[in-house]
Amino acid sequence: MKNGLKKLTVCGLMTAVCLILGYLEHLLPFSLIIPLPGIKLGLSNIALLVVLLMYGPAYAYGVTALKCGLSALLFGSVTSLAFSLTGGLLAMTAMWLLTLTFKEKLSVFGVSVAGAVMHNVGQLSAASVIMGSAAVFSYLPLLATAGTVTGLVTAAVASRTLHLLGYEKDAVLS
Amino acid sequence: MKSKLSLQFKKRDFIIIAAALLLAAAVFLFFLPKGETGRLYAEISKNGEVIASLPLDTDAEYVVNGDYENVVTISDGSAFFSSSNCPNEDCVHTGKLTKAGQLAVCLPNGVTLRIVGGEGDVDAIAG
Repeated sequence: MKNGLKKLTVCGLMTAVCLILGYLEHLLPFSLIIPLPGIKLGLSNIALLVVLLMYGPAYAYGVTALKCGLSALLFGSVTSLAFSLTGGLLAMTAMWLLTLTFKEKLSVFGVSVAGAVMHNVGQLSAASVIMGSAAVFSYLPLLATAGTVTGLVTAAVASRTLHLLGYEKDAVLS
Repeated sequence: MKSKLSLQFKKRDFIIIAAALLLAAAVFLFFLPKGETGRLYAEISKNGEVIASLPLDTDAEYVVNGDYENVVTISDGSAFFSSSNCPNEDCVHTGKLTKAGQLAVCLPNGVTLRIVGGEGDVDAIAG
Protein backbone atom coordinates (compact mmCIF):
# COMPACT_ATOMS: atom_id res chain seq x y z
CA MET A 1 0.00 0.00 0.00
CA LYS A 2 2.83 2.31 0.88
CA ASN A 3 4.27 1.53 -2.53
CA GLY A 4 1.12 2.64 -4.34
CA LEU A 5 1.02 5.85 -2.35
CA LYS A 6 4.57 6.66 -3.32
CA LYS A 7 3.85 6.04 -7.01
CA LEU A 8 0.79 8.24 -6.82
CA THR A 9 2.80 11.01 -5.19
CA VAL A 10 5.58 10.81 -7.75
CA CYS A 11 3.02 10.81 -10.58
CA GLY A 12 1.43 13.96 -9.15
CA LEU A 13 4.88 15.51 -8.99
CA MET A 14 5.60 14.48 -12.59
CA THR A 15 2.30 15.97 -13.75
CA ALA A 16 3.37 19.24 -12.16
CA VAL A 17 6.78 18.96 -13.84
CA CYS A 18 5.02 18.43 -17.20
CA LEU A 19 2.92 21.56 -16.71
CA ILE A 20 5.89 23.70 -15.67
CA LEU A 21 7.98 22.49 -18.62
CA GLY A 22 5.03 23.12 -20.93
CA TYR A 23 4.68 26.61 -19.51
CA LEU A 24 8.39 27.35 -19.94
CA GLU A 25 8.10 26.28 -23.58
CA HIS A 26 5.10 28.52 -23.92
CA LEU A 27 7.32 31.47 -22.94
CA LEU A 28 9.91 30.74 -25.62
CA PRO A 29 8.98 32.62 -28.77
CA PHE A 30 9.34 29.50 -30.89
CA SER A 31 6.26 30.25 -32.95
CA LEU A 32 7.82 33.51 -34.13
CA ILE A 33 10.80 31.66 -35.62
CA ILE A 34 8.77 28.85 -37.14
CA PRO A 35 5.10 29.84 -37.18
CA LEU A 36 3.61 26.39 -36.79
CA PRO A 37 1.61 25.48 -33.71
CA GLY A 38 3.19 22.01 -33.61
CA ILE A 39 6.88 22.91 -33.34
CA LYS A 40 8.17 22.82 -29.82
CA LEU A 41 10.86 21.17 -27.74
CA GLY A 42 8.47 18.73 -26.11
CA LEU A 43 10.24 19.02 -22.76
CA SER A 44 7.31 17.51 -20.89
CA ASN A 45 8.05 14.24 -22.67
CA ILE A 46 11.03 13.89 -20.33
CA ALA A 47 8.70 13.49 -17.37
CA LEU A 48 6.34 11.25 -19.35
CA LEU A 49 9.20 8.97 -20.38
CA VAL A 50 10.35 8.73 -16.78
CA VAL A 51 6.85 7.72 -15.62
CA LEU A 52 6.45 5.20 -18.47
CA LEU A 53 9.76 3.50 -17.81
CA MET A 54 9.56 3.54 -14.01
CA TYR A 55 5.90 2.79 -13.42
CA GLY A 56 4.55 1.37 -16.66
CA PRO A 57 1.80 2.33 -19.11
CA ALA A 58 -1.16 2.72 -16.73
CA TYR A 59 0.47 5.52 -14.73
CA ALA A 60 1.99 7.02 -17.89
CA TYR A 61 -1.39 7.28 -19.64
CA GLY A 62 -2.84 8.80 -16.50
CA VAL A 63 -0.17 11.49 -16.32
CA THR A 64 -0.52 12.14 -20.08
CA ALA A 65 -4.27 12.67 -19.81
CA LEU A 66 -3.90 14.86 -16.71
CA LYS A 67 -1.18 16.93 -18.34
CA CYS A 68 -3.29 17.49 -21.48
CA GLY A 69 -6.45 18.31 -19.53
CA LEU A 70 -4.77 20.64 -17.05
CA SER A 71 -2.67 22.50 -19.59
CA ALA A 72 -5.76 23.05 -21.78
CA LEU A 73 -7.53 24.37 -18.68
CA LEU A 74 -4.65 26.65 -17.74
CA PHE A 75 -3.29 27.88 -21.06
CA GLY A 76 -5.50 26.57 -23.83
CA SER A 77 -8.95 25.94 -25.19
CA VAL A 78 -11.20 23.07 -26.22
CA THR A 79 -9.44 22.91 -29.60
CA SER A 80 -6.02 22.76 -28.02
CA LEU A 81 -7.27 19.95 -25.75
CA ALA A 82 -8.27 17.91 -28.83
CA PHE A 83 -4.83 18.51 -30.30
CA SER A 84 -2.78 17.70 -27.26
CA LEU A 85 -4.88 14.64 -26.38
CA THR A 86 -4.63 13.01 -29.81
CA GLY A 87 -0.94 13.90 -29.99
CA GLY A 88 -0.19 12.86 -26.42
CA LEU A 89 -2.06 9.57 -26.44
CA LEU A 90 -0.69 8.51 -29.84
CA ALA A 91 2.84 9.38 -28.74
CA MET A 92 2.46 7.48 -25.47
CA THR A 93 1.05 4.44 -27.29
CA ALA A 94 3.98 4.43 -29.73
CA MET A 95 6.51 4.74 -26.90
CA TRP A 96 4.85 2.02 -24.84
CA LEU A 97 4.63 -0.45 -27.75
CA LEU A 98 8.27 0.13 -28.70
CA THR A 99 9.37 -0.37 -25.09
CA LEU A 100 7.33 -3.56 -24.91
CA THR A 101 8.65 -4.92 -28.22
CA PHE A 102 12.34 -4.12 -28.11
CA LYS A 103 13.14 -3.83 -24.40
CA GLU A 104 16.92 -3.56 -23.86
CA LYS A 105 17.65 -3.70 -27.61
CA LEU A 106 16.37 -0.16 -27.99
CA SER A 107 17.16 2.94 -25.96
CA VAL A 108 15.26 5.94 -24.70
CA PHE A 109 16.62 7.83 -27.72
CA GLY A 110 14.71 5.83 -30.32
CA VAL A 111 11.61 5.71 -28.14
CA SER A 112 11.69 9.48 -27.58
CA VAL A 113 12.08 10.21 -31.31
CA ALA A 114 9.15 7.91 -32.12
CA GLY A 115 7.09 9.66 -29.45
CA ALA A 116 7.92 13.12 -30.81
CA VAL A 117 7.08 12.18 -34.41
CA MET A 118 3.86 10.38 -33.46
CA HIS A 119 2.88 13.42 -31.41
CA ASN A 120 3.10 15.47 -34.60
CA VAL A 121 1.19 12.86 -36.59
CA GLY A 122 -1.56 12.88 -33.95
CA GLN A 123 -1.80 16.66 -33.92
CA LEU A 124 -1.95 16.88 -37.70
CA SER A 125 -4.62 14.19 -37.76
CA ALA A 126 -6.70 16.24 -35.34
CA ALA A 127 -6.04 19.34 -37.46
CA SER A 128 -7.06 17.59 -40.69
CA VAL A 129 -10.32 16.45 -39.07
CA ILE A 130 -11.03 19.99 -37.85
CA MET A 131 -10.09 21.55 -41.19
CA GLY A 132 -11.81 18.83 -43.21
CA SER A 133 -8.73 18.56 -45.39
CA ALA A 134 -5.55 16.50 -45.46
CA ALA A 135 -3.58 19.47 -46.78
CA VAL A 136 -2.17 20.18 -43.29
CA PHE A 137 -0.12 16.98 -43.58
CA SER A 138 2.19 18.92 -45.91
CA TYR A 139 3.60 20.31 -42.65
CA LEU A 140 4.63 16.83 -41.52
CA PRO A 141 8.07 16.77 -43.20
CA LEU A 142 9.12 19.89 -41.31
CA LEU A 143 7.48 18.82 -38.04
CA ALA A 144 8.84 15.27 -38.17
CA THR A 145 12.38 16.44 -38.90
CA ALA A 146 12.21 18.94 -36.06
CA GLY A 147 10.66 16.23 -33.86
CA THR A 148 13.57 13.89 -34.57
CA VAL A 149 16.04 16.50 -33.35
CA THR A 150 14.04 17.60 -30.30
CA GLY A 151 13.28 13.94 -29.50
CA LEU A 152 17.02 13.21 -29.28
CA VAL A 153 17.61 16.28 -27.10
CA THR A 154 14.86 15.39 -24.62
CA ALA A 155 16.01 11.75 -24.66
CA ALA A 156 19.47 12.84 -23.52
CA VAL A 157 17.89 14.59 -20.53
CA ALA A 158 15.57 11.65 -19.83
CA SER A 159 18.47 9.20 -20.04
CA ARG A 160 20.46 11.15 -17.47
CA THR A 161 17.42 11.59 -15.21
CA LEU A 162 16.57 7.88 -15.32
CA HIS A 163 20.19 7.02 -14.55
CA LEU A 164 20.17 9.29 -11.50
CA LEU A 165 16.90 7.77 -10.34
CA GLY A 166 18.55 4.34 -10.43
CA TYR A 167 16.54 2.96 -13.34
CA GLU A 168 19.17 0.34 -14.29
CA LYS A 169 19.50 -0.95 -10.73
CA ASP A 170 15.90 -1.98 -10.06
CA ALA A 171 16.02 0.37 -7.09
CA VAL A 172 13.39 2.43 -8.84
CA LEU A 173 11.41 5.03 -6.96
CA SER A 174 9.22 2.35 -5.40
CA MET B 1 6.85 -3.67 -15.38
CA LYS B 2 10.27 -5.10 -16.13
CA SER B 3 10.68 -4.30 -19.80
CA LYS B 4 13.84 -2.30 -19.41
CA LEU B 5 14.92 0.04 -22.11
CA SER B 6 18.58 0.87 -22.54
CA LEU B 7 19.69 4.32 -21.45
CA GLN B 8 22.60 4.27 -23.88
CA PHE B 9 22.13 4.82 -27.59
CA LYS B 10 21.65 1.49 -29.42
CA LYS B 11 22.10 0.59 -33.07
CA ARG B 12 18.38 0.02 -33.40
CA ASP B 13 17.72 3.63 -32.49
CA PHE B 14 19.08 4.46 -35.91
CA ILE B 15 16.23 2.45 -37.43
CA ILE B 16 13.68 4.60 -35.61
CA ILE B 17 15.46 7.80 -36.65
CA ALA B 18 15.73 6.56 -40.25
CA ALA B 19 12.03 5.65 -40.23
CA ALA B 20 11.11 9.10 -38.96
CA LEU B 21 13.18 10.87 -41.61
CA LEU B 22 11.92 8.49 -44.31
CA LEU B 23 8.35 9.31 -43.32
CA ALA B 24 9.19 13.01 -43.58
CA ALA B 25 10.76 12.50 -47.02
CA ALA B 26 7.86 10.39 -48.30
CA VAL B 27 5.26 12.95 -47.22
CA PHE B 28 7.40 15.72 -48.67
CA LEU B 29 7.52 13.97 -52.05
CA PHE B 30 3.79 13.28 -51.88
CA PHE B 31 3.01 16.97 -51.45
CA LEU B 32 5.54 18.14 -54.01
CA PRO B 33 3.62 20.32 -56.46
CA LYS B 34 3.07 18.62 -59.79
CA GLY B 35 1.85 21.23 -62.24
CA GLU B 36 4.06 24.14 -61.34
CA THR B 37 3.93 25.74 -64.76
CA GLY B 38 1.33 28.25 -65.76
CA ARG B 39 -0.50 30.78 -63.69
CA LEU B 40 -0.49 30.37 -59.94
CA TYR B 41 -3.62 30.72 -57.90
CA ALA B 42 -4.23 31.34 -54.24
CA GLU B 43 -6.81 28.82 -53.14
CA ILE B 44 -8.68 29.70 -49.98
CA SER B 45 -10.58 26.89 -48.24
CA LYS B 46 -12.78 26.92 -45.20
CA ASN B 47 -13.51 23.63 -43.43
CA GLY B 48 -12.33 21.65 -46.44
CA GLU B 49 -14.31 23.51 -49.08
CA VAL B 50 -12.68 25.84 -51.58
CA ILE B 51 -14.34 29.22 -51.18
CA ALA B 52 -12.10 31.31 -53.44
CA SER B 53 -9.41 30.85 -56.05
CA LEU B 54 -7.61 34.05 -56.89
CA PRO B 55 -4.86 34.52 -59.49
CA LEU B 56 -1.55 35.55 -57.90
CA ASP B 57 -0.79 38.07 -60.63
CA THR B 58 -3.76 40.26 -59.77
CA ASP B 59 -3.59 42.24 -56.54
CA ALA B 60 -6.63 41.60 -54.39
CA GLU B 61 -7.92 41.40 -50.86
CA TYR B 62 -10.27 38.73 -49.58
CA VAL B 63 -11.98 38.65 -46.21
CA VAL B 64 -12.90 35.29 -44.68
CA ASN B 65 -15.52 35.44 -41.96
CA GLY B 66 -16.28 32.78 -39.41
CA ASP B 67 -15.48 32.44 -35.73
CA TYR B 68 -12.71 34.91 -36.51
CA GLU B 69 -11.97 37.24 -39.39
CA ASN B 70 -8.97 36.63 -41.65
CA VAL B 71 -7.85 39.05 -44.31
CA VAL B 72 -5.97 37.45 -47.21
CA THR B 73 -4.00 39.87 -49.34
CA ILE B 74 -2.59 39.18 -52.79
CA SER B 75 0.13 41.54 -53.89
CA ASP B 76 3.25 41.37 -56.09
CA GLY B 77 2.75 37.70 -56.90
CA SER B 78 2.45 36.61 -53.27
CA ALA B 79 -0.48 35.69 -51.08
CA PHE B 80 -0.59 36.00 -47.31
CA PHE B 81 -2.80 36.44 -44.27
CA SER B 82 -2.34 40.17 -43.77
CA SER B 83 -4.40 40.33 -40.61
CA SER B 84 -6.47 38.13 -38.36
CA ASN B 85 -8.16 38.44 -35.00
CA CYS B 86 -7.52 34.80 -34.05
CA PRO B 87 -5.63 34.05 -30.78
CA ASN B 88 -2.06 33.24 -31.91
CA GLU B 89 -2.06 34.72 -35.41
CA ASP B 90 0.11 31.82 -36.63
CA CYS B 91 -1.50 32.38 -40.02
CA VAL B 92 -0.17 35.95 -40.20
CA HIS B 93 3.29 34.92 -38.92
CA THR B 94 3.57 32.30 -41.66
CA GLY B 95 4.38 35.13 -44.03
CA LYS B 96 4.14 35.44 -47.79
CA LEU B 97 3.47 32.47 -50.04
CA THR B 98 4.81 32.60 -53.57
CA LYS B 99 5.40 29.02 -54.76
CA ALA B 100 3.02 26.24 -55.68
CA GLY B 101 2.37 23.88 -52.78
CA GLN B 102 3.00 26.45 -50.04
CA LEU B 103 0.44 26.55 -47.30
CA ALA B 104 -0.68 28.84 -44.51
CA VAL B 105 -3.31 27.78 -42.03
CA CYS B 106 -5.58 29.49 -39.54
CA LEU B 107 -6.64 26.59 -37.35
CA PRO B 108 -9.03 28.51 -35.08
CA ASN B 109 -11.00 29.69 -38.11
CA GLY B 110 -10.61 26.47 -40.12
CA VAL B 111 -9.08 28.33 -43.06
CA THR B 112 -6.27 27.20 -45.35
CA LEU B 113 -4.52 29.35 -47.91
CA ARG B 114 -2.68 27.32 -50.53
CA ILE B 115 -0.84 28.14 -53.71
CA VAL B 116 -1.81 25.91 -56.60
CA GLY B 117 -0.68 25.79 -60.22
CA GLY B 118 -3.24 26.56 -62.86
CA GLU B 119 -3.50 23.43 -65.01
CA GLY B 120 -5.88 24.93 -67.53
CA ASP B 121 -3.22 27.29 -68.87
CA VAL B 122 -1.09 24.51 -70.31
CA ASP B 123 -3.99 23.41 -72.50
CA ALA B 124 -4.69 26.97 -73.48
CA ILE B 125 -1.13 27.39 -74.74
CA ALA B 126 -1.22 24.04 -76.56
CA GLY B 127 -4.51 24.96 -78.18
